Amino acid sequence: MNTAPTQRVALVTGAGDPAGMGAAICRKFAALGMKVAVLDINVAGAGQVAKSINDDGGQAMAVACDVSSSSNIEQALEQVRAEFGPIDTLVNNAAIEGWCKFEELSEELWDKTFDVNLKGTFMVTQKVLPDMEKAQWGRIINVSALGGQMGGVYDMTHYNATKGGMITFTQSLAIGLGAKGITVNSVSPGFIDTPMARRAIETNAFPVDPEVIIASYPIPRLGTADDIAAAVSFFASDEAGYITNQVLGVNGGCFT
Amino acid sequence: MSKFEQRLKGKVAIITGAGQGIGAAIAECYAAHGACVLITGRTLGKLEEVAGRIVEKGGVAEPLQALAGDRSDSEKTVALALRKWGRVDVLVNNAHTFTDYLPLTDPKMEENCLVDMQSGFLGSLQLMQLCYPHMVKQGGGSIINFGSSYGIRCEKGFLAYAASKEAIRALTKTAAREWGPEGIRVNTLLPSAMSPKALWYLKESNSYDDELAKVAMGKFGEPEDIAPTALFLASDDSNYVTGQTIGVDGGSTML
Repeated sequence: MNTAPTQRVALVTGAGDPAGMGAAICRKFAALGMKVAVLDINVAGAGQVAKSINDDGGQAMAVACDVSSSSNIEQALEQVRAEFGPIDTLVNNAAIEGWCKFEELSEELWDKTFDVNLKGTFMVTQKVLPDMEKAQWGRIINVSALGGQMGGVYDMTHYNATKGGMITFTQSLAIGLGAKGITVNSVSPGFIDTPMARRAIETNAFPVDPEVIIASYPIPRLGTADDIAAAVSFFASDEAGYITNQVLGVNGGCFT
Repeated sequence: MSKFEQRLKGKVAIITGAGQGIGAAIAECYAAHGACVLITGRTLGKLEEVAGRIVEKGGVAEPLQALAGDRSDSEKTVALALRKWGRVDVLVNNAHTFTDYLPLTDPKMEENCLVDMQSGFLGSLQLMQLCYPHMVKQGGGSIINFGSSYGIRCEKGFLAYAASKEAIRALTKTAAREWGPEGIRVNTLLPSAMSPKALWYLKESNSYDDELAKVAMGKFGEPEDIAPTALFLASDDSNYVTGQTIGVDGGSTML
């Protein structure tokens, strides 16, 4: 069996908001003893996340990265490899939303959403992969979304299309990498208490009262960023080495 | 995840079909993580062996001969867990008969379906029903049911097994909805770890290479590959996960 590197190095995109899922994933990884590269287009936010991890005795570095830019990614990876070494764990978490009625959806917003959420996932994965292939060991976790599994929100056609794409991207990529000791899985968050969800609640973006939605869930509460981080860290663990090609919904049971 | 962290400390787990293979691997993993485990199966000798290994390593285990799908055995199972340890936190419905290859037109078809349904589907349901009031009283619990890629793919000749396995997934999803508000989580695990019987069948039917080609990771699993996922689903790390199906099969089934 292929063995995990003794000092694990993880890279998490879109991790610059201390209240978001990316940051929670970074904190969980650091607590498990991994070195963590905190990537975000907002480098000040990434710096804040990395600092709090380092203050708590973990090892983190903040790196500026717009995942829709190929040259940005290359620069970021150069920094991470120079400081932490080869990357064995990748979490594609960076995503933008932007609610918009289909009739009003512009080509520009459609393209931007696809560039960050889906093209970004493809480019970061392709550029990180050589490290994992060399080690014959790797973990790739794509953070998709409930909307990517079931659609269901009229004002999110563009966002949900990118997340559905991440799921089939996962299920295609996994086929070629299994024999190299690299697993590819997706965690699909449901309604999670994140800055993204809070913005939607505050702007009354939901067609139905969010309280009513939450009350209908088998586990009737909002999910937390830590719920997502726990599932991601499970897929990232050495012991999950026979799990690939899976989509795990962390959604309180609302979609099964 | 630290190997030294006991993630099921203070919890009580019932694991069916635990005399060998996946069930035994899960029991040993849970016990190593601090759970008291009640292990059931058809052959007492095998269960005693597994329990002996656990106790030798400082764990707590109790073997009980019980047939999956026999209501009075199911009642005895839950009663014993309560008598020994006063609670049930985790139920792992792993036991399932596997009737032989049979075409739909065979006169024995209906009989085979009843055999598999009784042990797998109804056996899971019985233990869930019996654990339910205790889990409610305790404020929650985690139930792990076992599906199969055979259920999802529906290979020729295995209707009885596939139908019971898919009925179990329906049971999982229904229970996740009915019991979620009471803090009981229910998920389905799809394992791929070859039992001696499954290996025999693959060789006998010349389908070994075909089956292996469906596995993205290029190898069949071992019972030890399955246990970590059963641990994740039993632990508080999966507190917001319910009604889900997760394949631990090297990437052969995608949902």
